Amino acid sequence: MGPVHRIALSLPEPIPPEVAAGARLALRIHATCPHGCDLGGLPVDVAADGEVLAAGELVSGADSPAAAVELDVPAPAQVGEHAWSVGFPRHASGGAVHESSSLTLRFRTVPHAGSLAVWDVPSPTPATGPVHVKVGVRCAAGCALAGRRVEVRDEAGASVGGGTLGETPWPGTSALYWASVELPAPAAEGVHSRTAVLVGPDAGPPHEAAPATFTFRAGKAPAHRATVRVIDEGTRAPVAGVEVRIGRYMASTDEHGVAQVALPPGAFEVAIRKNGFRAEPVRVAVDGDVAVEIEAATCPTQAELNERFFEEYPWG
Amino acid sequence: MGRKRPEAAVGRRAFIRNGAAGVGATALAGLAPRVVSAQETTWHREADVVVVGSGASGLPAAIRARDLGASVIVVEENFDVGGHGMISQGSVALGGGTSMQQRHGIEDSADQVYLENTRPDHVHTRYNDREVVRAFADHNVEAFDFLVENGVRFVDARPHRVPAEGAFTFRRQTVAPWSQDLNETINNTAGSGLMRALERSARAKGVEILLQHRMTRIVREEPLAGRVLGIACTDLDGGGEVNIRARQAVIACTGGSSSNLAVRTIYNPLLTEEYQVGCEPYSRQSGDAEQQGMAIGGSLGATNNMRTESYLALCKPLWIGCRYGYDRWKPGGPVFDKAGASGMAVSDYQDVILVNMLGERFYDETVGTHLFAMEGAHDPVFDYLAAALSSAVLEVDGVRHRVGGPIWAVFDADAAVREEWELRHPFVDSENGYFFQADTLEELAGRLTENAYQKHPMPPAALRATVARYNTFVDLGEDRDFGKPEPRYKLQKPPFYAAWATPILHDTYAGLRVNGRSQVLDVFGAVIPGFYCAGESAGGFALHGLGRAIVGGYIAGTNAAEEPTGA
Repeated sequence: MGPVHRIALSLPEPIPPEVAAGARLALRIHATCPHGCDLGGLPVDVAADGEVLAAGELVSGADSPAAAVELDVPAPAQVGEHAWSVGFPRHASGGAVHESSSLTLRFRTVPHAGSLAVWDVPSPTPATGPVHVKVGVRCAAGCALAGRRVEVRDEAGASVGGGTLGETPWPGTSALYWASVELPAPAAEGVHSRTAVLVGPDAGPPHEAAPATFTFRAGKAPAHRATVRVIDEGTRAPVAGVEVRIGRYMASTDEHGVAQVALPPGAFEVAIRKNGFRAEPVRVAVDGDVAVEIEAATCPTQAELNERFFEEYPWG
Repeated sequence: MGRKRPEAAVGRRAFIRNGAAGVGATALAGLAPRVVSAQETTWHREADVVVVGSGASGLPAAIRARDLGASVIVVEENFDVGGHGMISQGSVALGGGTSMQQRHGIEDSADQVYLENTRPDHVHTRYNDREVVRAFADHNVEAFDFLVENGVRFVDARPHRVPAEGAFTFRRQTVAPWSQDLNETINNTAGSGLMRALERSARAKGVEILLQHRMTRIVREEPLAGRVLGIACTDLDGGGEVNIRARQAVIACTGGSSSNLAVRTIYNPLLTEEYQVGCEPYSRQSGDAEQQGMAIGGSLGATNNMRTESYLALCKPLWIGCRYGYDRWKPGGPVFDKAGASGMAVSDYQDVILVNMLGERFYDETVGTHLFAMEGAHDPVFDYLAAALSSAVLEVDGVRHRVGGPIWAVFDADAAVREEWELRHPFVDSENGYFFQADTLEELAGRLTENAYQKHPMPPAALRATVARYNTFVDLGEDRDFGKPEPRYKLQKPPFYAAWATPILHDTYAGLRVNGRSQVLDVFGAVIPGFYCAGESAGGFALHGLGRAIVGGYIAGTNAAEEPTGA
């Protein structure tokens, strides 16, 4: 029997102590013979509990005594502590024997990090009738979360609604999967808090996301309707896309320049907002359905004002 | 006369992301002077007067010295002339009874100019050097006539008075725009009407202008004694070192120090690297005069003029989502590739929250109807800016530090619709890390470290908590933290956005200490023979605008030409 060489196995980039469950790991493995033998073409593998997860052949290093191979290995889908074994099988050639060698890799798998968003929360919302909100979840790794469940809980932690994330991410987002959730109206007027959470069951990698707390104001039931029409003061033409604010209540004008808002009785200030238009707020008393016409004057947009900022004020 | 901008040595992304090390950014190290004796210096060029900088001080200084018979070389680090003057609106605040004032029935006098600029009760006049202001006041009329004689065409209309500059009763003049050509004007601003006229006159009179030459050293007979003999320059176009002997004088007109981290933090240590500078990336307030002047014994003067409440030294950005949010850089202009984006105007600060680098609100976002603290510490926007400059508390090794850092405007998809923003290039600068979009607030916070100045990760939970709390304030109808009037809109609809909204540095109000003849003084108060300084690099006079620069250059050129000719 020829000389016996003991092979050294190493990872130039150590495996992270925590790995997202199910994530794929690119393990670069180096194998070095202390006597300078070329190990190119020899096999190595990665195994767990005796099962080979990935295997490949070493490639001779051009500028290094180490032969190397990169193996793509999926991390376990289960959360917990794990140990993998990198193995180099015994091999004899050229009169030398390379002893089998192994390297143990220990790491922990953790749930994928997720984050939530809650939007289209009406506020004020009527104290009667259901409240509809949207709840979305994004996985930091971009997992498709369709089919996962979200739940909304009240201040006491009781579930008050839930939904299943749909197949398509919210428009404009890359991976925010969302559900529409119906919630019962709160029993009392005032500001209420709810918390959206991601719940199981998880098919695939587990996910963990911090709960998202949101608030909304429950107001009196609307008894009347305000119809607000916005026209251009100069041309008398209707102005579309104007934000109309009546107290805390808001709506946008349609192509006819009309916005309709359901209101409880009371006295309100009606104000508008649209870039390039302005009008003084008006006050209305609502004790029945009301109609308001607002004449909006054109004015420079903020971008135009900024452009003129230096021109109109001779700063220097 | 427009110049084709030379090919950049580095790409736009590298240029901007390099931050402190970038060519046009705030270099901390600056140019460390080599100790080279005058005897060792080999002169490559020679003139009676050497002017450093071709802005609103440099060109008047050069022309005036030339008019008095001196041969003049101007060195300019940029690819074109004009400095900040080129990006200005060409409004020249000269009074004292100019011909324009007289034609429009405005009574003024040199004494009036002097008294208004030495008021002890006004935030931007109280620390002014009386000798410097007296000289300024006495030369206003001459300087105005000088501009006219050198081809500057003023708008023949009743001059403006700037309301915010409460100390002044006289009215300003406005220069006619020179051109609507982006390259000719650099950014379609009327300052070209002033600077192109002066450039044309200077060249016609025989002033030699060396573009892309940066002063690296001032040569004095002895390191800290004797006359100033000339300067050493680097030819930025690859020509190596060029030493230029000044037989009579060197006039340093390098435009202030706001772009120079080492110098600006002498005045105010809060002005750390993250703050952008007005008129960059076209021209830098390089601090070269201050650094090289100090290296040969020059003193700084009236440094208290650069405190935080110095009214035009600092402002909120006019344009967010881009690095350079003071001027709106226009696509197609010669420096737009360096500017990165034009930015977005905020029509209503109800649409955004402003958070520090830790994801925390720190002030009522709606404060600052006029971006500058015109009335110093009495102006509400001063409180905003002061808060922004020290908005974050970092804990390092158990010790808490209050620091500034980036300020981000955070908003949601609904806000973008209300503001009618187009969230794409050339309006926002995503490529260089001044604008971000994300599906959730946590993801948004995690992305911000892609910005070169976001040195500390924004805790995702902190941003979420900030927004949740703010949204509750909307429900409550009151901002219980910072008193934002009736917070109106929740930040809730994805995607979410973060746009760079960090304050901007502008004027420099302190610099090398000079006397009324624009001669630089050393730390003992003695004149450094043959060395002059004017404009924003000269200390002792906090006055915004072109008037100070022009008159200072005019005075320096006058006196430099009267210096004895060296052997």
